[in-house]
Amino acid sequence: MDIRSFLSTIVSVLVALFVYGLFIMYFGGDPLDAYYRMFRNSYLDPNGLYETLRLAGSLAILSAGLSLVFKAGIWNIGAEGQYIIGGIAAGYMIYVFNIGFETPVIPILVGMLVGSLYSAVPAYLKYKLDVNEVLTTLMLNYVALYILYYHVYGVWRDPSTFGFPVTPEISMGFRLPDILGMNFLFPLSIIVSIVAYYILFRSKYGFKLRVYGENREAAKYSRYNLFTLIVGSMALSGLASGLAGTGDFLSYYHRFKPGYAAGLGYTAIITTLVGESNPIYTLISSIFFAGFLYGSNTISIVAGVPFEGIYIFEGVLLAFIISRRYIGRWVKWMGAENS
Amino acid sequence: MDGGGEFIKLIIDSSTVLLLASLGELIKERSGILNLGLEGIISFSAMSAIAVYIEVGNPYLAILVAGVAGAFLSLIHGFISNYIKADQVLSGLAVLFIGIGLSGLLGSKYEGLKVDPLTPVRIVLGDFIISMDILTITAYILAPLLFIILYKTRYGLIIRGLGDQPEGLDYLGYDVDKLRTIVVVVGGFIVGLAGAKLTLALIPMWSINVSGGRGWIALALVVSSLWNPMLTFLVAHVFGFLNQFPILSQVMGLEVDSRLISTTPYLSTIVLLVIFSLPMLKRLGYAPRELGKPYIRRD
Repeated sequence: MDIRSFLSTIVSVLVALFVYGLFIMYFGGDPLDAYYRMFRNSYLDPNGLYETLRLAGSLAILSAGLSLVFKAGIWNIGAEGQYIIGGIAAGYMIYVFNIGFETPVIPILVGMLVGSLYSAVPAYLKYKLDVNEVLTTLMLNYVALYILYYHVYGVWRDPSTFGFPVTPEISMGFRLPDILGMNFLFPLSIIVSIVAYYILFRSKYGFKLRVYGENREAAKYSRYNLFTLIVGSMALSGLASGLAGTGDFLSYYHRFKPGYAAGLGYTAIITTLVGESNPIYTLISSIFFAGFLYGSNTISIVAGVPFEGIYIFEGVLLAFIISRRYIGRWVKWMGAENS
Repeated sequence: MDGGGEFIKLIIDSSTVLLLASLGELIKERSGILNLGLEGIISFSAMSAIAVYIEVGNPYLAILVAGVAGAFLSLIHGFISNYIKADQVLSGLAVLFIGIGLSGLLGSKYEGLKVDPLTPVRIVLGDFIISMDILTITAYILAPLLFIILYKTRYGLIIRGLGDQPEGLDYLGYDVDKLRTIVVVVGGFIVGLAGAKLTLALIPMWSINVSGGRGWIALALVVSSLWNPMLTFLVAHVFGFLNQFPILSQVMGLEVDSRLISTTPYLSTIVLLVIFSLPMLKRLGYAPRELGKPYIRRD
């Protein structure tokens, strides 16, 4: 990332913070005070830091997967659904099938595989019939959400919790341990990000993905195997989403509840684009967004700003991030118009 | 008998939401601009409609404000797409997030509030008495009207030109970016009416998830109606029915889990997209040639 795009990212974040700040004022809060509290609660408080890094881990794993497809110009908007379905598949290995002994490994592998298949289907439709992947992956998010509800409110519901629609807690043997006081997912996300970076920028496959993303015609003339590019990258991205979903289930929630996914798959779209689809940068943007996500809970408690407000922040930020690359062209266009 | 009438009304209401949203998106796409933020626009205009209706009590003002809300968000999208010339997939997503965020923030105090649905107008046609609300009538007039405008008038020629041959219009001295932005804003107003229809008639209450993916389904309807308003009219009614299928199946006493049956509109949307992507149909079909591409003059 050169200095100019770094600065423009910072400016975009500041503009988005400013717009979100206007809404905090609308709800009677003081934006600077709110941002300070957010920062303190998310990064300086030990419990808050744990939560922030857990969220950062999930977001970074999701973003690492999305980086692969976004760099190839394939818009997988279905990370949310792949996350949920991966988690549910892992749930089947615990709640339904008895494998005889307790280990998190098999649920994780199954969760990754199923998450991967769930994104390979729209990818294959895109490869074979040129079906718009944005629409299909999005539809599958809704399908996944209802499948989650089917299990949480229905077949897996824990009868002992009375009113609460949650599934029973999984036993200790299935859980992922903390590492050095951090949730398992954060150290894991560093490894996943490095692997994704290696695939994307140091391997032949990643080179082809980037060529395909930059110039479809060039990829066709070079006789690249489009099946491995489209279906392969989508499957890898689904693999990562499935890992994040399974990881959150086994390391943090230990059960399913209706708010299990909480929109992380959508926020990961923003973290990926802010990080320019480079898995190392997306790791950094994930840590930032995780702090913001966790901190916005504090804002909604302290200043009464509804949680959905964060989407304003994300939307304005995205609008500026995608515009900055073109603003130069726009300025040139204005000049041409005047001359 | 009365129950049957209720069903028909439910299906018509549900279809009109999809129809208005698809028609709005259709003319945008005919001008070459793809707006994936439909879900956010519907959500924000639905919230605006019910907020004005609760605060002021005038349904017509509520409908107007919903349209303006839709036009406003579309203007953001039109500006980024036409003047900054950024990727339209991403600017659509930005508008999606902004729309969801705005409706979540400004709508929070109306969360869960119910209102009386729009009072229908009774139309007597001989022996038939049809009662429809103003938005249904608008949608039913709009579909053939847009068809006529698109295919039989000079304006339609220009709109289609924007999507198929923008360079031709540019040579003739038309301002492609400006015209596309105008079409996008007008389309946004129509999408806004879909939002009003949603919270003033179909589901007369506010919750953040009220749209439930209708924006995305509407996007798929535009593709599968081959960008033709009259076909949109037909397909919207099929999907209006499928969208209410979860409710209908319960009333009919189908022994399937209600949560699983709720996936039908989404799965059938995928099936529809696949059918319309089959090579056989694709050859017959049409898509605006420059859809999703910003117009950049080649010097």
